[in-house]
Amino acid sequence: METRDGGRDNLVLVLSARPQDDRAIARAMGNAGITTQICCTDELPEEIRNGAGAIVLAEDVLSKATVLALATLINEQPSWSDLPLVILTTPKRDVGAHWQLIQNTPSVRNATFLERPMRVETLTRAVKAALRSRTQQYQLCEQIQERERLLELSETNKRHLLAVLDNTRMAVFFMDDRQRCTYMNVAAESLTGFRLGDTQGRSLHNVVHHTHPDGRPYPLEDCPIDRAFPENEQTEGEEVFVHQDGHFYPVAFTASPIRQKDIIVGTVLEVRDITKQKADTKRLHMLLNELNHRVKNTLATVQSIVLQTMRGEAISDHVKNAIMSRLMALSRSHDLLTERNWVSAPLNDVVIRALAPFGVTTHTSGRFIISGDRFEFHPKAALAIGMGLHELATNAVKYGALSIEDGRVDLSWKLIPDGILRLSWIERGGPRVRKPERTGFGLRLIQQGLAHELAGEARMAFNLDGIVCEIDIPIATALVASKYGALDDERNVLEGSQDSGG
Amino acid sequence: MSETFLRGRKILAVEDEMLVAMMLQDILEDAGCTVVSAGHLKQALHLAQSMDIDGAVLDENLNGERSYPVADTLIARGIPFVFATGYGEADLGKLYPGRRILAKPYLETDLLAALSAAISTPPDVR
Repeated sequence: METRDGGRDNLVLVLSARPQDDRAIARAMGNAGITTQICCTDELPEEIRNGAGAIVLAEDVLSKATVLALATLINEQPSWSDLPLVILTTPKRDVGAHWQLIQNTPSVRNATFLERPMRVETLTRAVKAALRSRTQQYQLCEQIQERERLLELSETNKRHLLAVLDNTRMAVFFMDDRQRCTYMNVAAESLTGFRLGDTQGRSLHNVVHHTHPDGRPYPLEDCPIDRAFPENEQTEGEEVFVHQDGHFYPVAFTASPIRQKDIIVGTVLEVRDITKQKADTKRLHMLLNELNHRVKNTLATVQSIVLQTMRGEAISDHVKNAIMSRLMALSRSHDLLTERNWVSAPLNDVVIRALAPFGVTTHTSGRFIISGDRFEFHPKAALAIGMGLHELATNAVKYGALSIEDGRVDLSWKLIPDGILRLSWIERGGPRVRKPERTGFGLRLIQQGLAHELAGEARMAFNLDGIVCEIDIPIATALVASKYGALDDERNVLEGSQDSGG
Repeated sequence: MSETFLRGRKILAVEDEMLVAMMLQDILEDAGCTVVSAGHLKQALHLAQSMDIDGAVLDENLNGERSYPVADTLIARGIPFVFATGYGEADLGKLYPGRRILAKPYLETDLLAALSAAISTPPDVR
């Protein structure tokens, strides 16, 4: 589209055969505050293309060629433009032919004829009127340009929107204020088996969501999808839809209110078929269950083999019990991890599970005082810690603080610098401690096995007044990373129990 | 209590893992029980329907099949039993609320305690 520049909107081009006429006209215009530019016939095309508010021309300059050239120039103008002409005629001269020509040239419509001689005011009034009409044209042009720009923008937006809606695998519905469907995309049609036409005259809910899988009717009022509208809030969830052919299928949905200037006018609904996802999850769950079942049966088989092998042999109950309790300790840690899908286990639960045979069910139960923040352990680290605690507790029952009535164990853990979680096992009130003469299984598991498994360090101190074991665990290897953020705020409820219960 | 309580009782031991079944038999016989063993669902179901027994230990999974028909038969006949399972206890607990469930592997003492408790609990609160 033609652009306007250089303040030529109000420029009046003056054209006559006689220079003194030109100057007289220009002077009269100048006195009336109108900017003029005198030009000759040859310059006219260029000047018009550069932009002008009006042309004042004397009839004496009109030849047949000039009229035709003028007509061509006027025809070249964009549709909004109709350059006004003020033509000064001279009755005495015989210019009938040209006159006729102008009259008969349809493109030269916007022409005002002033007969000479005339008053200067008559001329300036005519030119001003011409400029006013020209200004209106420019304004109209601006409006048209703006409208075209908006139209193009809207077309582009529409194209983008349709590209998304037509190609997304997500079923998209628009619903009006009465929950009736006003639009559904291709994916929505293939998901539901319905076309938009099929859904008219009733709420979308009554088309695709009218019945529970057990056959009970599903009233619109109960439907969480349709709550997005009255509650003016995005709603998400899972529901079961009914296909056009009658079969049920699980879906995940997001329903969002459509607002127009703060008024909710409808709902946009996104729906995704989650049949496969559900089946996958179920299958995964089943596989995990089977695997756990195998592991537990294998442990039971190992247990049986050991028992059968020892049966009838001269093996002390002490040995039998040690083997069985170790197998059970391993099994309990497995139980905990199974319950948590082998993702991670909170240290707190690992501790309670490991110490359950020693009378621990809560943080202060039995003869233990347990405290520490919540840390999520990797499955392998959880198993190792569980076994280590079992050995510590077994030793305490046999030789340490738990071997006599008044003995107690404080078990706590906290973060220390360099990303280390320090687990402290402190026995109090037990008999005088004697350092063992040899390194048995339990001690070896704690000092070497645990340190190895956790890439950390374990120290046993056989202090006279009680065994102290410190296990330093690098959190980078033992903890599940995604839970780091929760380290500080997920405080254990038992924090206070150390004060009150101790 | 279990030491003497179970003496002379006739117990149906349903377990498909050969070695676990052997251990189960040893444990029960050491406690003075008479043991009838079954490793397959059909066999176990037949015994549960026809035998005169005081109680049962019932593995949840028998060669890939669930032992629920056996459990239902035992319940219908008012015969006390305990479950043993390698699966989590939660699902089974929902299916048979209040029923004693042993997680495999189990200790001898835990099995005998659970079985004694099951047999000594009156049927209406079992």
